[in-house]
Amino acid sequence: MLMGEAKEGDLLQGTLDMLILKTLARGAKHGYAIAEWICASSDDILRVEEGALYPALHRLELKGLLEAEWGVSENNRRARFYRLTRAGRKALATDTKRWSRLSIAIARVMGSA
Amino acid sequence: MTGWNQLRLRLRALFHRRDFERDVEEEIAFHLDMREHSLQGQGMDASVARAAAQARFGNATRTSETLRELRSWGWIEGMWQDVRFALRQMRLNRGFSVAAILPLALAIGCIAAVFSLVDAVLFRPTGVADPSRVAAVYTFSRAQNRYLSDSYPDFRDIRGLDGVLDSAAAYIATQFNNVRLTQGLESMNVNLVTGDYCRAAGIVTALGRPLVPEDDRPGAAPVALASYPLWENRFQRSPSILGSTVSIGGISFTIVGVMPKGYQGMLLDWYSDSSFWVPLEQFHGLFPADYENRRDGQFLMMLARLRPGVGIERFQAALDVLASRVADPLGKSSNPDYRLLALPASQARFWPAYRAATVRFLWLLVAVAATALAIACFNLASLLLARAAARQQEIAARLALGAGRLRLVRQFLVENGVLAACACALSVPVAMGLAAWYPGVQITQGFTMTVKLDADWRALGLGMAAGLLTSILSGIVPAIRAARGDVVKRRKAGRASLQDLLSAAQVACAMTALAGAVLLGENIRHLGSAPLGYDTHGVLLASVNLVTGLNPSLDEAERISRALLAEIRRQAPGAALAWQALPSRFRMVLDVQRESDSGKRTAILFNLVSDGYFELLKIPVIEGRGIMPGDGRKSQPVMVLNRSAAALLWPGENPVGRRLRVNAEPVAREVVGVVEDTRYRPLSETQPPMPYVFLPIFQFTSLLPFEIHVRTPNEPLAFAKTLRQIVAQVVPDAPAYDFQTLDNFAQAGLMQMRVAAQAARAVSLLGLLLAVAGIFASGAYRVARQKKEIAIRIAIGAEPRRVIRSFAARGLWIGIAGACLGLMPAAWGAALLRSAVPGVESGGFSLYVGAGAILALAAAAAALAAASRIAEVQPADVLRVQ
Repeated sequence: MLMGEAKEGDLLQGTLDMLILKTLARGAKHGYAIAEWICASSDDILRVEEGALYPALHRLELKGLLEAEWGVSENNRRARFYRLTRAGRKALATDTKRWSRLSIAIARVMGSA
Repeated sequence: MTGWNQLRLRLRALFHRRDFERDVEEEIAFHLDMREHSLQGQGMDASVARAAAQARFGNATRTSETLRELRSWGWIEGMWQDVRFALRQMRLNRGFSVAAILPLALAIGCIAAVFSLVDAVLFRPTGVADPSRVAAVYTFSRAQNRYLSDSYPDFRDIRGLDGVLDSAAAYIATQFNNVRLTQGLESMNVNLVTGDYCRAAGIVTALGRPLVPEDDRPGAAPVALASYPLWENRFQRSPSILGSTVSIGGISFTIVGVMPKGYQGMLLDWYSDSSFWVPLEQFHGLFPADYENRRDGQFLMMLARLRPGVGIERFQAALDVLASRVADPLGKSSNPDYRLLALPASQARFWPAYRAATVRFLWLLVAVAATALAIACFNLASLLLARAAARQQEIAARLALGAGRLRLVRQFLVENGVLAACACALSVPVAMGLAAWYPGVQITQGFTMTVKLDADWRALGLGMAAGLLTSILSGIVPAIRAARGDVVKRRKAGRASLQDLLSAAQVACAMTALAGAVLLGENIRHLGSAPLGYDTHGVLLASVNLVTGLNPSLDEAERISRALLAEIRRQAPGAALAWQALPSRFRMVLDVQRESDSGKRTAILFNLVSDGYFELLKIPVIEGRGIMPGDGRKSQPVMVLNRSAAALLWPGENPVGRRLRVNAEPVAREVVGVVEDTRYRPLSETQPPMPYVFLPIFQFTSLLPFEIHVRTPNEPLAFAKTLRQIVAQVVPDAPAYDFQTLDNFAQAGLMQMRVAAQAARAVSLLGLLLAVAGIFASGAYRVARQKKEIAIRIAIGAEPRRVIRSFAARGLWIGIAGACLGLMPAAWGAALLRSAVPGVESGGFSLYVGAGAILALAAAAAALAAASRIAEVQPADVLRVQ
């Protein structure tokens, strides 16, 4: 659902979406926290381009994979929190499966060289 | 699901625009603050941290722009802005808007009304189910080259055809003037139908049951179907209509069902607004004696439903075989002249003879309306161009500020579209008004036709679409020109501008319409003043139908009619009866044959008249005598010829005293007199001298309705009330109807032409007015723009009069160019007219020169009026300002 047939080759875009979904699997977060979490959990390897993060979030929201709600952040400020919808969870599951197949395949290709 | 979610979010962003934008800003600000905080936490200096956070985020403005675009409505939103801008422009330039919208609204209204007429007359379903499988059958006489109704034996033969037909029905529509439903006597149209009628027409009743073959057997209980409008208006759609009784022609019918809504039957121009359908068998007595076996009793219409898979060609082939076996109308020999013709339902909406003329008349109206639309569109384009010129500064400023040219074109097109949409909205009342006026117009040359035009959105939509499309198309060039920002630059003095071309095009359209209007007007004048040969002035007509009223025997009918005539003459001595008032649309003929010959028969148009008829109409009797009071059923059968008939039958001889056989009458008739030739056919037809015969009305062997003619000293209609009372007193069950003056009756045939002429006249006037206004406006604009040049010319010694003349010449040239441009469409329109309206002459040289001269002069006058402002130019003032 997240990665339609037409977007198969759009690795970067799709990957960011997938990472966002994965990040939100544990619970609602605001944009900044998402960026930080991706960064931290990839040991600083994946640095989300912050300018691209928000359009991705809004796009996912429009697709109905995320829900957004204004809440209060850890430092008591108004922040926009994103949460997975049921559709978002489903998309995450499909993506995870597809991703693991893809990464194994790529690893094979790279390993055989 | 996803789509719904998107729509919800987009709608929220649209309706809570402010909130949404604040949210976007806040979300980004929050992120930047958090990052700044975190960097400070890592020991970065406060002033640097902010910049670093922003650098890491990238272009925040662009991001918020992207977020906004995600929820935008794309081009729709831009369009909406354009629409709002266009509406504001319209409000600001009221004069411009009215000048653009009003002609357009008129034109679109006209074309929509014409479309709905065309639709109603030619295309709209008449209620016959699956009409592609239905055919009408006519008898066709090759010798007379005309279509006739069918006889009962023909119907019986066709119904019996093997393997071709699903069902076949015969019917006859007529008016009964003695229908008793809930209140007194009423006039209603009634269809008398054979048993399979409902099956052949594919009728699913709205209530109750259809008519079935058992209802049409001798001795069956009289039952009737009511029309839907009757059920609606008289019974408020109550089921209690079933079982109610209605008396028609003295027979009491039980209503067993209601026809479906909108059912009009097959023929639209023959009493199509019928109120009842009853079995033919019940009115056995109305028809010629022994009609079941007489092939000369051609009075039935036929409706045949083909079997699935059978094409009309196969049906026609079967009819051809059938016709070849049938003897001639008089039953004497086989008749090569005789043919049965099947017409598909789509072509059987009129009496076949009237179809072609009707279609051409409709085409004529479409052409007139299209001309009006073209004129309005040229007007619109020319106004848009003028406005583009006036908005040069605004356009230049917007281009300088970075607006794309395409964006500007779009905006101009939207402005144009908004104007067109307003015109469409305004055209609705125009179309409705015109549509309401139609039913009074005689559409066909045959019987009057009932056209139902209630709220026809299909045609209205089509008309509007045509109007919208053409008006937007006509805005494209001005829009592109305007967006190029070079409207003014391109206009060098002396070169014809696009606006001048548009004015010329309007003149051309006006020329076309004017030529048509003149031709039609000439034709009406010519035909309307054609000598009739009798005096129609001061004569009152009223119809009486004893047949459907009393169905008397021939002897009774003679007695009643004579009593009626005598009673009327006590009040008004100048009174007579005739089967048909002249000029007549009927084309019924008699077969006459000189008693001395055995071979040649001639078909001659005829009328049945009482004594006093020739005297009343002042038709001169040139030989022998006219019809006398003594010419009745008991006396010697006689007839009167007109001059042409006498010349045809006995060239160079006096026919008085000779004998003629008429149809299958047992005794030959004696010619007792000859009257002068007069006009017999409607004024709308050209009529060469034609043979015509008169028979005494009481001596005819079948009963027909008749027209009472009364000559009155004063206004004829003032006598109508008295006449109605006399008829009601003598024959209570056959009330008089259709009161009118003979003057009106004679002119009625020209109605169609009058409508066309009025429409063409109105359109030519519209075109001329708009062209003149356009020429004046552009002339005035040119004077205003070239004030300096003019001032210099005058200052260095040019005479103001010469300058004025040079400006006015331009208008003259536009007019001449337009007239030349209009020659071709005008000639084409004249050709269309000649084919659509009988009697129209081709205009000839003088018409085109005359019309062209009028238009060119009008154009020149408009330009002169505009240029005369030059006289007000004071060179000193103008140059001082500069």
